Amino acid sequence: MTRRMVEIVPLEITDEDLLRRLASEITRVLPFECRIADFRRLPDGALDTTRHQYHATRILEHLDASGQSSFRQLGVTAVDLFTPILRYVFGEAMLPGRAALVSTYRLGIAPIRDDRPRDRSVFISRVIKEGIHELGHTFGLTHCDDPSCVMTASLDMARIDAKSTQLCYYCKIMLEDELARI
Amino acid sequence: MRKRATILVVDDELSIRVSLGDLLRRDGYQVEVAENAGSALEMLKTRSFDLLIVDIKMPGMDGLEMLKQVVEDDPEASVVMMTAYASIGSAVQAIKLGAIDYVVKPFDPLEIGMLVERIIKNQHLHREHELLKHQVKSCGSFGPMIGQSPAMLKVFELVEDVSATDSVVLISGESGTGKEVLARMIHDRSSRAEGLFVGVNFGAFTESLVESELFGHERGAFTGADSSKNGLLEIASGGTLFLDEIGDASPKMQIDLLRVLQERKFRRVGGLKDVEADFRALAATNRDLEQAVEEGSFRRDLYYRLNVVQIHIPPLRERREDVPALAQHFLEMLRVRLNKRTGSISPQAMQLLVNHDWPGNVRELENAIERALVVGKQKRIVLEDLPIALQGSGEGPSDESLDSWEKSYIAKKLEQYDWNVSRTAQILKIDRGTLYAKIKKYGLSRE
Repeated sequence: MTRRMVEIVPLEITDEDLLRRLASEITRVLPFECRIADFRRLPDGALDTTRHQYHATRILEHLDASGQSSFRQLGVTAVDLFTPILRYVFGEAMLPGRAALVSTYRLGIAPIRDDRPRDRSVFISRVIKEGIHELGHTFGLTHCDDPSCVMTASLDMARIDAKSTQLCYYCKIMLEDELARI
Repeated sequence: MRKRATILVVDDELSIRVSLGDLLRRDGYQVEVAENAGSALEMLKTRSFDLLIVDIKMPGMDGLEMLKQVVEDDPEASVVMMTAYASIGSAVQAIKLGAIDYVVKPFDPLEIGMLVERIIKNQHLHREHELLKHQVKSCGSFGPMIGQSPAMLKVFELVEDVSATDSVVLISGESGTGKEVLARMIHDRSSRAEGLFVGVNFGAFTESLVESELFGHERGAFTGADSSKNGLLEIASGGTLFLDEIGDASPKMQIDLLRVLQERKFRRVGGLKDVEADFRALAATNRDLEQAVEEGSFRRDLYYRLNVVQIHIPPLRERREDVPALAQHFLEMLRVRLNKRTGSISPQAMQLLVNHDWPGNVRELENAIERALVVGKQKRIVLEDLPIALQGSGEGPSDESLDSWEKSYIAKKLEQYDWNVSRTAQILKIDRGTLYAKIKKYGLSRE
């Protein structure tokens, strides 16, 4: 049976190594194929000139509208995201829905230096966890109490670093139930 | 997995309602939103919330005025105020008026998540404490199972008989009759009372989840099973295993259960070793299992294995004499949980409770008392506090559809209050707009 396809959409981000590793981990952890789509511009109107940040919900709506035929789309961007109620977010997703979004902006060890291998690997691991986490929301998964589950709330860097890229036993079953349903 | 607390978000800005609602839903909470204080207060008339998050600055009635009204009605209400403009003055005022906390928009993601979690956890602890105090006080010789009717006395006699044994008991009865309460009574009176009472509900979970919950799993049994896990069969060792809604067990699960009950041993999912099982099984069903056996949806051999002793709990309509004591018991228990001062039930309301047929049985009665406590404004429960469907008991033919019953009931009330729509809406505990919509829907007019 053909596995369902998650499309990674690079939104004004050119870090191909990061995108490839994200795609490879999604394929390993979730029962989906994954492909990297063509580079895209962030939608007009996403930048809030008062907050100097990008409106995550508007970007999600744009992704959803442009990907009507996709199974799931995960937008990846390097800009700083916000929602009207939060000062910043690491990512955002439709609960449930087709579109998810993750930003690398706040996931680095400041200042990020790509020439330091440990910094780079921690950074990539965080982006992968947050990408899978946001994709999980698109299947209706809510935050999990198990600190090692990828669906545990990503409140700060320590908690992101402490969790794995994997779904816990219960979240996995709920994902399977949802996949059987759709 | 989190307990699903309910939260009402009140803010005039759509984007805030949407983004805060989504944020809280992602944390597993059940969220409702209201765009102004008026509609929020209207919602609060018919349902309660664990937490209210209210914007201070709103057109019309502002958040502080709403807070005053909420706290006046329910001094224990948990309200967090939010504002876009930090000002010590309004924060102090909000706390003085009874708000738990005060947050400035936009929130720090870390701050809001932890604040809500802390409030909900504290509420659970407080409620558990109050409930335990009441349970300790109210436990009589038959604990929370109440009844003096001949039918219930017969049930209690059977409970005494089976408690002394280790036999499998099949508890039957309609939904809401108290099958789990009875199972706990048997456990508490048995030689296994020191062990755990462990329940599994076959109607509530998917087959794969029930299987792993019941039998446990070995490390590596499936992707993500990083460690082995004890199943409920092992946890119930030395105690009682309550198999609720057994009629909903899947065919595969029925085979597994039969094996455990016959051989008293089982294997964990992905396991190769047999594990000894030392539990007493109690099963419950609201289905006619004999009929299910005849239809082929329930295994005959499992039915015989479960049906060693059967205790049938009669529906509440067959033991109306128990209604007053049950109603009073729920009133005592729920007024503590809901923090209400309502202390009694009016004779007219009690007569209505006794006359009603209670298709949902004791649970429906408990819900009716809870609703009456939530909507009631007086020191005792009166007729108008009871659900409309209940108030119509005996007034309309039972074979009428709900719509035609509602039509005649509303017409009668309008006549009674001389077509004063505001007053009638107040009596029916619906808003005027809803009543106008119903008048239009049913084509009612003043003769």
